[in-house]
Amino acid sequence: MKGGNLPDNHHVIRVVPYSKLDKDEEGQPTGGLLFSAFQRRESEDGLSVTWLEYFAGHDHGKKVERAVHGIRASNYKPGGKAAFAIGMVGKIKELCRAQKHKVRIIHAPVDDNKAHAEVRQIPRDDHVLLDALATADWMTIVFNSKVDAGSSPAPDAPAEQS
Amino acid sequence: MTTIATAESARRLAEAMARAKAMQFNQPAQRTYEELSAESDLSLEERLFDVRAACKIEARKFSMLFEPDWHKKLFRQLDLLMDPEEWDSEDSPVSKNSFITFIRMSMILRNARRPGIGIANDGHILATWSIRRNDRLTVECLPQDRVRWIVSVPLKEETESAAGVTSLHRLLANLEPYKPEHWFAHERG
Repeated sequence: MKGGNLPDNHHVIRVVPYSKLDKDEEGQPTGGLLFSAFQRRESEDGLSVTWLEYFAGHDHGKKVERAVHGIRASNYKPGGKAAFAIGMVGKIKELCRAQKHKVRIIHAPVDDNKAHAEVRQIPRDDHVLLDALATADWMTIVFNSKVDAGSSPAPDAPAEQS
Repeated sequence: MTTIATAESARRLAEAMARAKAMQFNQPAQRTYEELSAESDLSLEERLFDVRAACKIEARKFSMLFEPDWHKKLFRQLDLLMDPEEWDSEDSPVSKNSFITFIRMSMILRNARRPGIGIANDGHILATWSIRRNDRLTVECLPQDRVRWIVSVPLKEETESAAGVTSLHRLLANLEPYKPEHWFAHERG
């Protein structure tokens, strides 16, 4: 599966630090994201995400919890005020296509996160696209503080897909 | 959250302010926030501390132009933004030139509702005025009094998005078609 495209009906989860959350004038998160949550750095080939359906679970919520635990067990430690943005692969690709960009979302496991994936060919400088991703009504936001405590590395192989 | 809670914190703040003031008065050798933040012998916490201190010194110069508690509220936002426990170590700290643009924008918009603040690539400050997820204004403060504005506005069953780059003094003219007063109003609908 490494290097393979994720199915359109699967989801990816992106860590969003506090600095890239939309906030009010008191610094309280509004529940939204800034465009910079999806802004690829110049040194990056792709936007780093985690494959949600890599994790087993009877329902979406259990998969999210396990994915968050996997992220916490990786080398990247999300802060207490961070959030996770969850979007369906097909919806992300569709929105990018509407802005004339063709992206690939591929499985790209790394040593500290076997569920790691990347959004390739996402432009760095199309701010309308990045803001559209941030404000999409289908993008779900889950705060790190709302996910049960715990961390557990992603298993070596993805869950069996039904 | 208190800005200074211990004697150790006060000592570190004094040292950071001394570095920042030396930076200001030593013009030929003035070191930017970027240079300070790139010093490999400083930890992430120390670099963020220095940048926060330098931002606060810069903001203090203009505090008399705003309401009395303006700088206190801004300082709190900066403390929250550059909290080392929450900061992504791969991100660039706040850029001095971006922060100066932010302060000047704040002077132009001094009667508007205060924005939320965030960060983008290259340490650029983002200022946002949000009504709902799909109804907001984002302004990226670029160096040299340039700004990138991005709007999302609801239109019947769709969301219209637009963006542009302009000079600070042309920002409100650029935003006029989107009726920016509804974002800036203190009483939100």
